[in-house]
Amino acid sequence: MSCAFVHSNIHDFISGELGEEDRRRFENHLHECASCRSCVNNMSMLRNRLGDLLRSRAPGHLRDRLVVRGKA
Amino acid sequence: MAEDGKSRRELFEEEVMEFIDGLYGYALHLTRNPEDACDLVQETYARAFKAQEQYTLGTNARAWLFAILRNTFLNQIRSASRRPKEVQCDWVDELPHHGVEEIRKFGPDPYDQFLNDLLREDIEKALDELPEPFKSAVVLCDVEGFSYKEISEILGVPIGTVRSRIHRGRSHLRKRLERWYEKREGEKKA
Repeated sequence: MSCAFVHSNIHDFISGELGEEDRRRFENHLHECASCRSCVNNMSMLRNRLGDLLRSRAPGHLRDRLVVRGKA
Repeated sequence: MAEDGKSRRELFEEEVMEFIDGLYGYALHLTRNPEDACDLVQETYARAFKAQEQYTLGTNARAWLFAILRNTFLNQIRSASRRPKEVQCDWVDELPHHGVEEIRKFGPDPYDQFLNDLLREDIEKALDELPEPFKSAVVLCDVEGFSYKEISEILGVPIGTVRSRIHRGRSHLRKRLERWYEKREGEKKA
């Protein structure tokens, strides 16, 4: 198992899109390699931060307009 | 009448209204303007209500609505004679896919500080630099939490294309944000 495997699959791992066997291989390597662990942690934290910062809430007036329209 | 004495229409309404925040957020990324985003969401719901017979209650309303929103947006752009960026150039090949060495020398240090310092406007600015197909793939995956399969249905492209857009989009975003951060830290020290 090499670091190259982790680097070419890092995004799929973070997205939760790796198959079970690959995910296990990936995680096994992370247990052994601090450098890859740090890469994956950083990318994963950045992804979470993107989600936290970019989530929006629809304005109340839009919600009201839609409810009225839906019932019409 | 369906279960709980509610009509199909009421059940449909309950199901689709649940996703208004996510739809508004995605509309905001596409239009970059709160007023246009509201109009786009309103038009999306109007179309969804019109097409509700095509929808099977209890299936994936969220992905269905996002696909309607995206198609509505693309139609609006076309009718305004403004071509979307995705048909202007083949960015898939132009945006570099960062190699192993690039990932290894990962980011600013300390990373926690970098993340804490990031503001919504920084990310929005970095996202706006991404060509639309990449931006949509990243927003749908990382903000809305859709699977690659759902994103491929919403965007109407193969899963391999979704994967490639997410990889390259995220790498570009990270690089851009880190460059910005390092520059700002450098200015602080100067």
